[in-house]
Amino acid sequence: MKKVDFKDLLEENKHIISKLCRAYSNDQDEFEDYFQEVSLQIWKAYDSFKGESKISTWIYRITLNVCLSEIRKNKRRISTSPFKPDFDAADHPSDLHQEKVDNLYNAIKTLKKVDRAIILLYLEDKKYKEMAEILGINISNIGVKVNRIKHELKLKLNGQ
Amino acid sequence: MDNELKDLWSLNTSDVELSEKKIDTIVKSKSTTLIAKIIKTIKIEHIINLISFPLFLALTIYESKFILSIFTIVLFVPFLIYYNRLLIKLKQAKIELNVHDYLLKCYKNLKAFVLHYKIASTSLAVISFFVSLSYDFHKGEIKSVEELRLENSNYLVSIFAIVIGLIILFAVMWTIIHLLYAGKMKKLKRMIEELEN
Repeated sequence: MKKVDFKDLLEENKHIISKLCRAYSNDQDEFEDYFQEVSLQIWKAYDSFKGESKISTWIYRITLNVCLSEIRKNKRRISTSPFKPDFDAADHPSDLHQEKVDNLYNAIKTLKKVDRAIILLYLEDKKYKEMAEILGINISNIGVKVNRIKHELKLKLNGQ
Repeated sequence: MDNELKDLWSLNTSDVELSEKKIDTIVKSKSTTLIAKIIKTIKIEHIINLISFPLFLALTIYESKFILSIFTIVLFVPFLIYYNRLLIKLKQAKIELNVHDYLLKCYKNLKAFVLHYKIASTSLAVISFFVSLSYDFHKGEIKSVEELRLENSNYLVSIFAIVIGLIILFAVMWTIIHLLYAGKMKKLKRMIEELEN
């Protein structure tokens, strides 16, 4: 794969990678680490991509595999500034929206890692069939899990 | 609530800026995944084996210890096969597998890695014990174990002390291995179970 093609591929999919990585990061450094590792894995694995699934399905798999298998010690980090990924503030309609998104992320981060993966795919508007393909679990299990996690997330967002 | 969550999520447009410099950094970087680290460690061990075995073989030939030379060759071949197989097995954890299969491969790899260390550390200690014993016999001071028992009762005490030392060493090594990897294995297993149930 040429670097130019790799850059194009990352540009097209960076929103997926960054949204997922952010849900597994506690700070900017961790986010950068995850993003870099996912990108590196895409670079290394692209030549073996056979096109059996959609490229986005492939990207979701790699991103979640990196984020779930990276088992880090829960460091007690003292953050001097709130964690903000490297994004352009102009992209956001308002601070209120951003605050809501931050609250959603905070609620997602309190979920178990596997539940996070499921709800992230649901929020990304993935069909159950594609979710099953990415996660490698039975399609009939997805609906039950999604409903349970949505309920849990709702409670967390309402501060219960 | 469903649409509310998805609508809220759609506002989330956080993106990173991808400069040429950043792409270069990514391409040149080394992987930090668990599997990559394990593969790297095993490769280093494999290289050390490839260097140390022929060196040891040359030493035994130089010292005319031909039985030890044959023993080294007999040991070297299975070692090569074992390391090759282990590396092939470890590389089966392809990052593009579905999440369940990838985590399962990671778990199995970690299990194989831990088992490898337990076997390797035990084998090395046992081999070094017998090699040092055989060198003692070749010194000419000692003719046989039976004679030693008669001539020097302290020898048995020394062997006993070495055995006890080795047992303590195994216990310490196995505990360190357990502390380093058991937690990771437990977390992986829990995630796999969560996906399956």
